[in-house]
Amino acid sequence: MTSEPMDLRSRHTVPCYARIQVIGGAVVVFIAALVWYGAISLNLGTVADFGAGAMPKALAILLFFGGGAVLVQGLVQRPEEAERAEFSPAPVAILVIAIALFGLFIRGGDFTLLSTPQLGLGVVGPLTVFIAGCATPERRVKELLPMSFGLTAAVLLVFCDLLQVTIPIFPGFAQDAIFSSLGVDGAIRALYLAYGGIAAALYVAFFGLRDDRRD
Amino acid sequence: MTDLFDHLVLGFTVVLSFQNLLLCLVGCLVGTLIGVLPGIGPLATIAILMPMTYNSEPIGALIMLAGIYYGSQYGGSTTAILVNMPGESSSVVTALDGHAMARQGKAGKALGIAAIGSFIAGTFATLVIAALAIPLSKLALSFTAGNYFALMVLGLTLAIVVAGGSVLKAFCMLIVGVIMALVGANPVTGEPRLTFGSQILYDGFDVAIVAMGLFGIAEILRNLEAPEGRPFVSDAVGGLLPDRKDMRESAGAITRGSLLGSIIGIIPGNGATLSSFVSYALEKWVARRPQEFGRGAIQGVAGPESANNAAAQTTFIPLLTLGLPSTATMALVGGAMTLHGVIPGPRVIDQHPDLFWGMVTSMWIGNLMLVIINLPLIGIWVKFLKVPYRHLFPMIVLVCCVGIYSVNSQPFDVLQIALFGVIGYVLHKLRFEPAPLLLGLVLGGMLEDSLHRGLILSHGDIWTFVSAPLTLILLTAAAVVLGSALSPSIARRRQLLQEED
Amino acid sequence: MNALNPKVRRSRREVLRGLAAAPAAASAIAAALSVFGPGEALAEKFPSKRITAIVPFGAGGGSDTQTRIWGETIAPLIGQRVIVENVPGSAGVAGTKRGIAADPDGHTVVVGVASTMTINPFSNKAADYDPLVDLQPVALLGYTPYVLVVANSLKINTLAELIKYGKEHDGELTYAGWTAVGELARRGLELRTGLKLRAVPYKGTMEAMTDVIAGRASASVVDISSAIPFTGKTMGAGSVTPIMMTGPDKSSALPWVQTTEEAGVKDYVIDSWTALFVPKKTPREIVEFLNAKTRLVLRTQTVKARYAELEIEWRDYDVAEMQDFMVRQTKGWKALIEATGTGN
Repeated sequence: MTSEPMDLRSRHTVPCYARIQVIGGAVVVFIAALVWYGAISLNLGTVADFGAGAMPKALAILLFFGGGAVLVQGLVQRPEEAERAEFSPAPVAILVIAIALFGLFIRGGDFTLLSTPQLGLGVVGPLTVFIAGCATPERRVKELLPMSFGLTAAVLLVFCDLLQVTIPIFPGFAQDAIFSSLGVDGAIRALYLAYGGIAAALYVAFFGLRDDRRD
Repeated sequence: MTDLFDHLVLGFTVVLSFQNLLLCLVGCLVGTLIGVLPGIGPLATIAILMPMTYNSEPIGALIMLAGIYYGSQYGGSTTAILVNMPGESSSVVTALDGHAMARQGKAGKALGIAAIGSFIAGTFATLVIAALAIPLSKLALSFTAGNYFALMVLGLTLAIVVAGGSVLKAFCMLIVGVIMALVGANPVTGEPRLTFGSQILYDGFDVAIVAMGLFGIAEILRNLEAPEGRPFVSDAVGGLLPDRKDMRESAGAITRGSLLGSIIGIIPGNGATLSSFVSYALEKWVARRPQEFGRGAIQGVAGPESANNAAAQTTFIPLLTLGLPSTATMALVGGAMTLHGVIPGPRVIDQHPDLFWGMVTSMWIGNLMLVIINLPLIGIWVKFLKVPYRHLFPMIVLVCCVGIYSVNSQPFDVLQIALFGVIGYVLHKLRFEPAPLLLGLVLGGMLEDSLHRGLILSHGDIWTFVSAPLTLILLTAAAVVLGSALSPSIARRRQLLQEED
Repeated sequence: MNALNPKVRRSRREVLRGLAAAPAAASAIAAALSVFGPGEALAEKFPSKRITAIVPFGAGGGSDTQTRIWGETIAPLIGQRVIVENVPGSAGVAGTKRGIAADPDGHTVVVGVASTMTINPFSNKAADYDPLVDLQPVALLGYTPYVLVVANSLKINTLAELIKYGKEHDGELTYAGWTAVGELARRGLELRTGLKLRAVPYKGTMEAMTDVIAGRASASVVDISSAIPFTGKTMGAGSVTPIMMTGPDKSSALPWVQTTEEAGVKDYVIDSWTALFVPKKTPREIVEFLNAKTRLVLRTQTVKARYAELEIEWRDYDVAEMQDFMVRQTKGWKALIEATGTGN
């Protein structure tokens, strides 16, 4: 993924490598090559009983020509017709981190490259909301903090208490101790009530009791 | 005709009671409320709500299930329109113009026409089932591998028409989608294919996850960098609900969608998705201003929504009469019915005619409840868009993560929506449309399957395989569609070349 | 839907919540059981929280349905909710592995079927577990025999006729298959009878049956609950012809169909079952407790009626018999997998 700052100066002389068509075509050709590589070891079979490799290989060839045509279009484009590919990596990266955090730590597990512990929705929920909320330039930490807890409380209430969806809620190491002292339902309710309370307290602390800050 | 009447009367006598209507209403309401949460498609909604039906009598449970089913379907379409996050593949097309309408301040109209279109289509499809279920189930039996193959080819070529922009790029996306459908282990031999040694890809790609990533998460990423283009609704444009003019403009689309959906839904296979693509392509074809499609054409919402609802209804024919579920959602509904003692299959219609026709009529009641509940709710949904985006999107992200995780309890599913979100964002930047990719992914498996099976059964004789009349008709139609999709761009190219000369 | 007290209508939460809220009849049966049941002392302590039943497939399938019927009926009896968690992935390997890794305290049970417990370990590299070592079988939920069916258009009624037809029409017989079990059934049949059946892949049972009915495919081995809607319950009544049970037992639903022994086929058993397992280290009393309660609910008339509708058979095994059953199953499948060369 290339990233170019917004650059309107050179709008009219987009170099080949930054053209949408060129990058797009190249990506498609790359995918075609990848598919071909993955299908090398698969057998073709015969017309009367084609093997696992037949479709992938045939489609890889089609895709190669399709992508190649897009690429060539981009190369022969008149420079003033070409569009520059522009990406803004910051919000993308932040949002990916927020979602990945949820996936990696909700129940933990072995993800080949790293092993993670279970942190549960109680920990991961507020973090995901907070980090995701940071992805926009309009972020306001004072709003995000109560929101993180409030939304998690709402999700716990709806999904875990009312709908009985099986989602890990507490960190793996503390789970048994919490459940045995409060019971499963008690623990869930205690958590969302606590989070709801925290959200309300933070809101009052940051914004007072005014009700006029609607925007 | 007396059949039709008898069947409906039998069904209604079984179903119509205050308690059953209430159950249906509750099911539809809860189904809508859960289904409307971003990231939670109909499959997840039904799986989550299935235990709600445990305590009722079989018929009450079934009618509640029908309510949940239609509620969740419509809830999925609602999220598709409001935040461009289709809950399953059949509402992908709805997102195209529905979300474009929402961005123009016409979210209420889009939601309204979707509900009305769905109801009309649902009513029509119920009549079709009541009149023709038994003969139609025989029709479904007569479909050969070659017919399926041709139908898949036609469906895939239509995807190229549906996508706006470059035909060539749409073609590339389509092929990528079909290839993605081939990833995973062979169910018979367990031999992995294109998994690159990863256990994670063993089960291939899940359509719902790919759709939510490519459309929903990617949409958030796009909105984050372009504040001005957000689906902000300061004021609803020209009234909240569809007006007389909108209805007039959509009438044709709804009629055509109902017909198409009813027919395509009967064929085992993913009828709801296929019919929504076909209907969109058809509407774009007959439209006076096809250039409006993709930019908020109301027909582009009315047609596909009617079609997928009609298809969702007639899809019950192969399920109920043959036990053939055409999608994961239908398989789950079938499972829920089994749990209540209605085992989908050829015997249900003889052994439990009351339950069978009760089920059919409860579908219609489910549709009715859908309109009753959702028209008033539209005002509330639209208000959601007034929530500042910086508050809205973290909520979408959290609910989406929870919803995705709750379906399979697999953390990797959550990581996948992040991945496909980024891919969708990059595709958008590179001007590739993700819709054909998705249809390729939905239909790809069946395309290979039916081709493989057909060639085995015909001993590798390609002519025997394609020469069946229906196969030939469908393949010819595909060729015509492809030709007409290509011709404008060829014409444009010629023109360009002439100008250059 | 409440197996033990169908007349009492309660909200789901009430029914599934602790013993105190459970219907009186359920506690009465529970009390009665504790007189003769094992784990008498345990009934107080176990289960101390909700029980999670891991189904290694998506919601809506056969084993999922059986698990839900079990969970729904046993909940009032043990005074705790049973939550079904669907963990599909890698042909059931993902969910099974999660069950093996669960705490061995009986609060997590994993549902096993023939393919996840006795086929995958020999044929799927990802299934790096040994059910006999890593898991303790608890109780059988259901048993489903399989049957060999052929297209009516072939006008064949016995296996011998099928073999004769195959010899006369070389290369014409096709076999509709869709799972690892189906493929094993085909290869086993070829091995044990000398038939030649060309494999035709399908997406699922019903797609396959559709083509056998229409005569586009010649034969298939199908579980009896999927087959009966098409075979009918009397000879010659169906849209396909059942010609042999793929095991040593007669079927009560299809009494005229030959068993493997009667048809002269040796060492060929294809069947399917659903059973509950817990991690190996789970205390014996808990295993006995779950076994006893499970058998109690499966003996009730409500469940029997449901099973009859679904064509599911059941066998009343205690823990030791269940263990024997697993050992027999494992041996049988392993031999077939090795003989047909489908393993890796």
